[in-house]
Amino acid sequence: MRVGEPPGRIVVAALSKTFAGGIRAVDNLSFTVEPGSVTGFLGPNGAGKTTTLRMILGLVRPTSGTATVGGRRYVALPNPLRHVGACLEASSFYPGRTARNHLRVYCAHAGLPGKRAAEVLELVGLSAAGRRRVKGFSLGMRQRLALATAMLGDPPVLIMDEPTNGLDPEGIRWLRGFLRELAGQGRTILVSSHLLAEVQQTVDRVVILSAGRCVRQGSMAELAGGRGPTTLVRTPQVDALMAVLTSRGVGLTRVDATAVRIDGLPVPDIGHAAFEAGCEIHEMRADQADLERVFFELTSQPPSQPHVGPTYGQPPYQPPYQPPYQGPGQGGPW
Amino acid sequence: MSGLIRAEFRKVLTTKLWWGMLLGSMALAALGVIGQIASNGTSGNDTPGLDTTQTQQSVFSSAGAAGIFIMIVGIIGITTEYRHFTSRPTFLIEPRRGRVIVAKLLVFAVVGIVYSLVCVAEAIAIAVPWLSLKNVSVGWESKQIIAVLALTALGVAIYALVGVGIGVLIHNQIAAVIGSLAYFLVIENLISIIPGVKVIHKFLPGATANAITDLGHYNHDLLRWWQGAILLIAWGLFFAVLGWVLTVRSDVP
Ligand SMILES: Nc1ncnc2c1ncn2[C@@H]1O[C@H](COP(=O)(O)OP(=O)(O)O)[C@@H](O)[C@H]1O
Ligand SMILES: Nc1ncnc2c1ncn2[C@@H]1O[C@H](COP(=O)(O)OP(=O)(O)O)[C@@H](O)[C@H]1O
Ligand SMILES: [Mg+2]
Ligand SMILES: [Mg+2]
Repeated sequence: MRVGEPPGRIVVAALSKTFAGGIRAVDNLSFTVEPGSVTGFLGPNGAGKTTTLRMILGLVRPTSGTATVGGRRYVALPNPLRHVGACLEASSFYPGRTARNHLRVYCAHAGLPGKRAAEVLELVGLSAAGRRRVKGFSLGMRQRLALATAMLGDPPVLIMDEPTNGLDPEGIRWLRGFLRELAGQGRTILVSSHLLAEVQQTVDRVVILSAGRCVRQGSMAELAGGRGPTTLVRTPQVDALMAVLTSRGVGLTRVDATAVRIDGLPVPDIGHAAFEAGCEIHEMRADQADLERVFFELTSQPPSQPHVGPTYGQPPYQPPYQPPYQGPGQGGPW
Repeated sequence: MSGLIRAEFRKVLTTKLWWGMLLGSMALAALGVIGQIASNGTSGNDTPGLDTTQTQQSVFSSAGAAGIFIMIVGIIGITTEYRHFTSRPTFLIEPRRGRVIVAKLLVFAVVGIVYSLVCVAEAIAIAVPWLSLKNVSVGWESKQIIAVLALTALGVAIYALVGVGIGVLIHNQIAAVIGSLAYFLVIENLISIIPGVKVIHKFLPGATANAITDLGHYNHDLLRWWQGAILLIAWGLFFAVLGWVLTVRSDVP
């Protein structure tokens, strides 16, 4: 282990994978995931997310580059189940085995007591289904069982590939809270998704992938272009509001006859300005569409074009420590 | 390694497969024994009488027909991991894939021994009362019969290794099962009658398995029993090592 390497840090360095047939699924990818944070690993379908996660986990052999967890390659970890929990995309269960027996197999494998199976079933809310065969499980139940398997070794690192697939809104809300709680305990969480909206309430940082390359990495605020939050305000007196904000040098865009999008100004300041300008407010909300647009623009670049973006040539992220969870979110899509 | 072996035992015991396949093995062993006794002395059957040691050996060793079943169990034991993608959690917990293969070889050898003992016990339970009804006494005192029972069990158990080896080499479950059945039931028999290649037949897996129970070396087209045992183990390990070499660096599906 490298001296001083935190056990939970994931470092991906110049990782590439070319499949037989010449498909370059991952292309010179570098990023770092820090303990105590939830990192969203984003990109459209086929961007190379699954391939990258499988390379980190030693299931796919990189063509070049390395991926380490706590300074070691996955295959060099002693008892990896206690170190890294993984939930992969499709379900990996023997259909005729019960959920409990599925877990007990891996308890035996990793030298854990059999009662750990009941504990993780409880943790993911599957206790009642523990003695049922997996073939009768819905997709959401399979996702929970995959998560239970990942949690068996109580690992400091959790890697999840599109875990919200098949979950109902209640399940997604539950997963979001679960991940925040785990990150709050100081664990490292790397979670992939093809939808920004699905994870933006949950993650601290994002790594955005397009055609196998990293097109952006950083905090959610940085993703919004360093402009801070964007707010949409609807008022019949748009011109008056725009005039007072423009005079203070605030960046804004008119949306339509009764709405304006304001960049970077905290909501109380906008409210104060509107009050001074005598504007009647009909709506004022964080503008998620803006982030969605950034994400779309980043990931819809033609892949053949050499990419020049804010992360080009930048060294791996060295974070200032930030407390992982800043209280309940503003109430997004879920 | 001990955790890995316990996990492999749990995998076997938490499915219904081992149970169903045991019943299948017992049925095949019973058919073999019953066929030998019932056909003896009928017209067109020129095997020596039931009171000879040679025939009694061949009656008991026909329980070895169960070997094909335990081979299928071994094949399924490993190809199931690929079929249902449990290869992922398995190799996530034990990334050193060679260890997983060794654990499977050990566990299925034990499963094979259990199957073989059950089948041999069944052969005794069928043959001994039946022969005494025919007023034929079993030649226990020659020790040859005991040795043949032990070797029959050994041969059946080694088939489990061959099955695991085939599974390591061919990950596709259907292809591995159909292919090996076709080989053992058809192809190897064809090889034994084609003039040019006939000479290699005795070194092939099916013939080495038959040699194991031919204690008196009555069939001169086969190797000696101990040569057969060593060669059949070698075949199983060869398949496993070849499969390991070919797939250890490949991506886990
Ligand atoms: N085993 C494979 N063989 C060949 N191509 C593959 C294989 N796995 C993935 N790919 C290709 O690699 C690219 C990235 O796939 P993937 O990592 O699954 O993307 P994502 O998870 O972001 O949707 C896709 O073009 C996909 O078709
Ligand atoms: N073949 C089956 N055998 C046993 N239980 C089943 C089977 N199919 C579904 N179930 C159970 O019925 C319930 C409803 O499942 P399902 O219809 O798949 O829900 P949904 O599609 O709304 O997620 C779940 O508890 C599921 O486990
Ligand atoms: Mg994917
Ligand atoms: Mg459903």
